[in-house]
Amino acid sequence: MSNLLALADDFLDRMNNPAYGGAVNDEYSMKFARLLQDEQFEAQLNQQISDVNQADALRSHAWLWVIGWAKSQDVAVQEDVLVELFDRWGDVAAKAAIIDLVLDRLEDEGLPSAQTRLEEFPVRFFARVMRRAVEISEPPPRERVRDGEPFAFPREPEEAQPSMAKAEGLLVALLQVGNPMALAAASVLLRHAWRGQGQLSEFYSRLLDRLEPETRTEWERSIFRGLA
Amino acid sequence: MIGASIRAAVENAIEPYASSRLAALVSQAGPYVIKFVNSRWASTYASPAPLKISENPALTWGTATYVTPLAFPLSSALYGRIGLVSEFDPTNWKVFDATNPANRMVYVRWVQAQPAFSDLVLTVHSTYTNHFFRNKFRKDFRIDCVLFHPDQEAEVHTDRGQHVWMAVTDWKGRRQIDSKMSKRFAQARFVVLIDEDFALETGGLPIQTSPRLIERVTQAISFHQAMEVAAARVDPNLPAEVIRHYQLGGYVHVFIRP
Repeated sequence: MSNLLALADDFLDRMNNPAYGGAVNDEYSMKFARLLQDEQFEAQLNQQISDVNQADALRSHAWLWVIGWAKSQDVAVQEDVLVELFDRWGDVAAKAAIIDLVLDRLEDEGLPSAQTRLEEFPVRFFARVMRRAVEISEPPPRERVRDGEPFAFPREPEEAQPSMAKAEGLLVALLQVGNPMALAAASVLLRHAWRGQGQLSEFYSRLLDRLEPETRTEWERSIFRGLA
Repeated sequence: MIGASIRAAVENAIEPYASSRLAALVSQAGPYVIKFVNSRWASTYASPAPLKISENPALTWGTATYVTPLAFPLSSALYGRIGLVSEFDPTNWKVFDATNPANRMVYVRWVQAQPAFSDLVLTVHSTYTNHFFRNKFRKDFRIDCVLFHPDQEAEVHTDRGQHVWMAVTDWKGRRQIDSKMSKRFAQARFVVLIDEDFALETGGLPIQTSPRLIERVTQAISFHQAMEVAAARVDPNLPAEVIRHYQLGGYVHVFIRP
């Protein structure tokens, strides 16, 4: 990581992390804004943001600022980094901010058809985060039972269970962004046949249940409108 | 993805500047705002300079410039000893008046219809989620200014029920909220110096009502003397004066000449 970004990380964390308190946040925000008034500094910072290829380069609060900054200043952030951050963050609003940034930089990608499979989704970022969300990792191998031990019956291998948190977080983030491409991705995700499909559909139904009827109808109409 | 009635309710709550409460405040004290900041920024604003747009995620209405109409000149003195004043032109602004309880409920209805609402109430991420919603609301409805009652008070100076503060949006392009320096308040200058300090937090949380740390004490001491700082620096009698006030239970107020 560059020295500039290492310094920026410290500043940005103090600007954006509420744990420091409002006075510290504002103080560092003001100091950083003054640095940004130097066009050369701003250009260097933007370049280094575009060059970063590891999510560990900055702390989460610094990344949150960078995502917002990149969107407002039209600065590119590497897709690998965005995928990693998206996967790492549990905060749906933070995930939605990443989707917003990705969508902002799209160039006229056509909407997918109703038959589009998750892996073929035309926006590669969405295909990647959807694939990760529906991945089912095998459970760790069970400790071997020693021969001759009482009750050591042979067991059937356990079927790996889907971890729903990622898929649910992705679905809500896509719905929250709510533009046609994000809604198309939400629709493809809901239709994708995988071991967690039933649970994800159930989760979506519960989301709908809490809405007033008018908003519920709007959600139901919007989610399938995204597909060409 | 919100129902038509919620959308209509929000749109009805947004007023053009001319018919908003802000217009009444401007007609009362002129198109000026004040923002109190830490003393270290006095020299920066000795000559006109833009205010910084606040982007701290814990703020009441998201990324915006937080200022107070000059109708309430000392209302936000909690935040620093230096009062920066700027002229502004709200002519074409769209104003959301959150001092009106009905409008606040409209915002709550809008938030409840958001897909990520559950994350706001059921997860540890509520600070950032709130920040996200507040920005989205102002962005989606293109709101230039939110009026709200203070949510922190400087004892005596702030009246939470009557005073009005402003969160003003600077736009970047058509629909982005800017976070750099404000173009709305581009000519802010150090105008007010207040002889008071307030604590902003208590026990690590934002303070609700902050007591005056100096005036409260001085009010109780009748014996005192004011000395202009430049004169005090070279006054050979200053040590003796300080000792005299110490012995008589008084205080010396070394002030900066206006």
